[in-house]
Amino acid sequence: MDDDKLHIPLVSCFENSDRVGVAVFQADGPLLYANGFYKRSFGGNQYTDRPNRFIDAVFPEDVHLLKKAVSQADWKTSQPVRVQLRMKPSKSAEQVIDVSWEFFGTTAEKPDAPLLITGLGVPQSPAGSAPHFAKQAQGSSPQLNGQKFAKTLVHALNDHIFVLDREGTYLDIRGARETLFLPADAFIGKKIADFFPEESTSLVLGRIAACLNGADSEPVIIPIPIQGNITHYECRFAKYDDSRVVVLARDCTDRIRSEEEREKLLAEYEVLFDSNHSAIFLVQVNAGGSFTYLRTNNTHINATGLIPEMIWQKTPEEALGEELGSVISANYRNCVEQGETILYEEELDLPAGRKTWLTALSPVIREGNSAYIIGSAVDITLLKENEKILRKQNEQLEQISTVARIGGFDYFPDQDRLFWTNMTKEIHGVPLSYTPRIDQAFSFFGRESCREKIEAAARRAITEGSPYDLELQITDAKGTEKWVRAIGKAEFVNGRCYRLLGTFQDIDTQKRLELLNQANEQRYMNILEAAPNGMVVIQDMNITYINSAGVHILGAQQREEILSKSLQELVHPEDYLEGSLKVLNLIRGVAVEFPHELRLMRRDGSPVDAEITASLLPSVGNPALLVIFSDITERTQNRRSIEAQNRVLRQIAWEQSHVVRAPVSRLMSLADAIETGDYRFLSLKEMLDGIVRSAVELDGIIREISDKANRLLHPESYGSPVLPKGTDPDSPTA
Amino acid sequence: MEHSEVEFLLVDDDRIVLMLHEASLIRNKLCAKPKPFTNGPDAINYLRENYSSGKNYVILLDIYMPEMDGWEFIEILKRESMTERTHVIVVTSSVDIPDRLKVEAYPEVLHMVIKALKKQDVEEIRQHPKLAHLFG
Repeated sequence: MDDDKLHIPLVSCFENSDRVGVAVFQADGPLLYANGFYKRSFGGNQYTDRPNRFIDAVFPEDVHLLKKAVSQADWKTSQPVRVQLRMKPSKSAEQVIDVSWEFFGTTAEKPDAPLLITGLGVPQSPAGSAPHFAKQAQGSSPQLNGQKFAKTLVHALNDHIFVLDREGTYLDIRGARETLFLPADAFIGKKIADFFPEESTSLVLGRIAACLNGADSEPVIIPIPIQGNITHYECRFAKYDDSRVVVLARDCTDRIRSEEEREKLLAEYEVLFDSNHSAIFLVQVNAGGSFTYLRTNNTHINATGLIPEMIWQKTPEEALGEELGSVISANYRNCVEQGETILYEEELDLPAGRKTWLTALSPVIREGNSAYIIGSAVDITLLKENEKILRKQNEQLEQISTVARIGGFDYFPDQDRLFWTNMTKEIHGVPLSYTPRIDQAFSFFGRESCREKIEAAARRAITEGSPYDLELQITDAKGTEKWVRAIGKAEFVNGRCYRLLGTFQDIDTQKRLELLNQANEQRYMNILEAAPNGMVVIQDMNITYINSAGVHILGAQQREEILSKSLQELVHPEDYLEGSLKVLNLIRGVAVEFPHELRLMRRDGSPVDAEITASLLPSVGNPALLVIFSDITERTQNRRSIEAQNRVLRQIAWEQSHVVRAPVSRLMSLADAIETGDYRFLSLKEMLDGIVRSAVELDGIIREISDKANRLLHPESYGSPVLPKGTDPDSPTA
Repeated sequence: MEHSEVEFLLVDDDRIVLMLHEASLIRNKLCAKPKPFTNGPDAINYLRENYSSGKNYVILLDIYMPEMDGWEFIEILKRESMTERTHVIVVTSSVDIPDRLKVEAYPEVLHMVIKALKKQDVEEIRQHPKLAHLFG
């Protein structure tokens, strides 16, 4: 089998391909061979005034890439130089086709002859926008004769070239023989089945049979296990004669693997894209300055509520309405104009609700222009709200500390460094530029007692960890003495205080008021103590205060004997109900009549007559009552004595009315009878007896009245007046 | 009003006074034959026995009596529904104001007379608006 004959099936392998363009050309000279695909694609570049050149089909701006690739093509290595070139279908065409070329350097017959370049090109344009394959009239025949081209091709190609019969017997091996896994001669006369498993073998045999039957010779990828690894071969089958085929086998394992790798990577990117927590969107920059959404990820869909049907392949204006869309387009335009990533916040009213977004737009530059924009947006609505709240809280805190005049301090013992806030400096009357030291800080406590207290408290906090809260006086830098409240707390790490922090509050006004109140309270207390009447304060039916006079009236030695006692313990059981009712009514706001008399119980259990008045005290918490009471035992006794005298006097009056008048009226009746001389019912003697009896009765009565009067006037001689039994002068029935 | 038969009952524990009053009523021609009782229970019993006869009874009643006082006497009259035709005139030696007030509290008591019973008192009884019809 000679090369001259081999070129026909070899050429046929590529000649009819509609996927691979083949061109053989001198490095800077004319095109020597081009297959049908090439001619159909770029044949429009033929010139009439000079031989057709490969370079003429290359987009002018990519010519330098071609030249660089050609210079790297070396026949010795047989390694292809890969380059992507934009190719023009014709001289006048504006459209270009991206073509991925592999260039091989091939020696010419003569050493000084120009280098021949064989190029295999695959268009990269997407299927949808594939270049038109205008049917060209059978172009000029290859200017390279068959034998020469076959040699060129055989040398140029990195492929193994096998000649096989219908049974898969190796008849000849050409091409890259040295890269076979066995010496080429080891194959001759053997069958495919001798080397490869049944599956691969039957695949190859099937293609041989199809090829011999005249079927299309599209390349097929056949995986073949070699030395434990799968090697992928892209095989092209061409009929050599009725019983033989030429097979070009190219190791495409790397390509397959890289494709697999790419697919895997693509899948990973897909996952990354869709599972990203940012809402990501890809925008195409259109020629007219408009923008089209190409893709959005799942986060974008969920967070915006814009499903793909609403936004993909649409401009912002189409997807979101003219008003909002134009605002968004303006941002995209800004990104394109700046040519770099821009970051901004925006508030958008989208189907998923009104939200605040932090959006980053990054342009994707192609050929010096922004072709796409990748957008990434994060929903910061909550963050913004929190920020607002935090800002407000900070403002409030600032206001509070200003109004309340609270400053702060930080002391780091190890570094002996003290920090004051502005308010602390203001309280100390020093300028804001003032840098405090701990010893200076203590020196503001002008009074020795105060300084000792604060120093001791700070020392204890640092050494023992005990917090402090003190009200002390300082003398500020301007010489003004003022009250401050100092609160401190130490922070420890590994048992060692590294920080003492706290607050410093100007409490001068309230402290002075408090002291004034205390003085006033003391003054009023003195008045209460000096009062002759007993005074108690009752809260929750318990005695919370009693003055000295009260202690005396209740027969106690110490105030404490009365304090905390309940009202019930101090009032006579028979009077408690009425007394407590008055107290309750007073608390309830019901009008209560005072003074009220009741019996109190002295500590020894004896009763003491008291007159009380009570009034509500302005108080915090439960109502408090001030009860003023005086000992009226003597007055009561006097009154009882007078009442007893009155009863005796009434008795006398009663006796005069009843007892004395009885004999008197009888005497008057007798006198009347005698006067009329009517003796029909009583004889004169009976009348005289009646007169005597009446006189005796009168005598006895007068004696008795005299006796009672004496008892009344001189009770000490008789004891308390005693009334006649059964004659109560107070009763109207007497 | 139609003239009806009237009987006078005198109730007083002082026998002399009782007789003197009896004499006074007869002498002043208010009543020909008054019935004297020295205690309340006897007078009550008399009324119980005779009240159903349909007579009117004018009772001159002393207040302070040992066995049953005048107030108790009136309570029994009320309790035993004998007030319609009994007309009580209290006769007492008391000039005590509370006694007077108490008399006013009893609508059953028509009049109060302070002992001793004088001619003028008898005339007041005769002309009393609520009694005049009894004496024709």
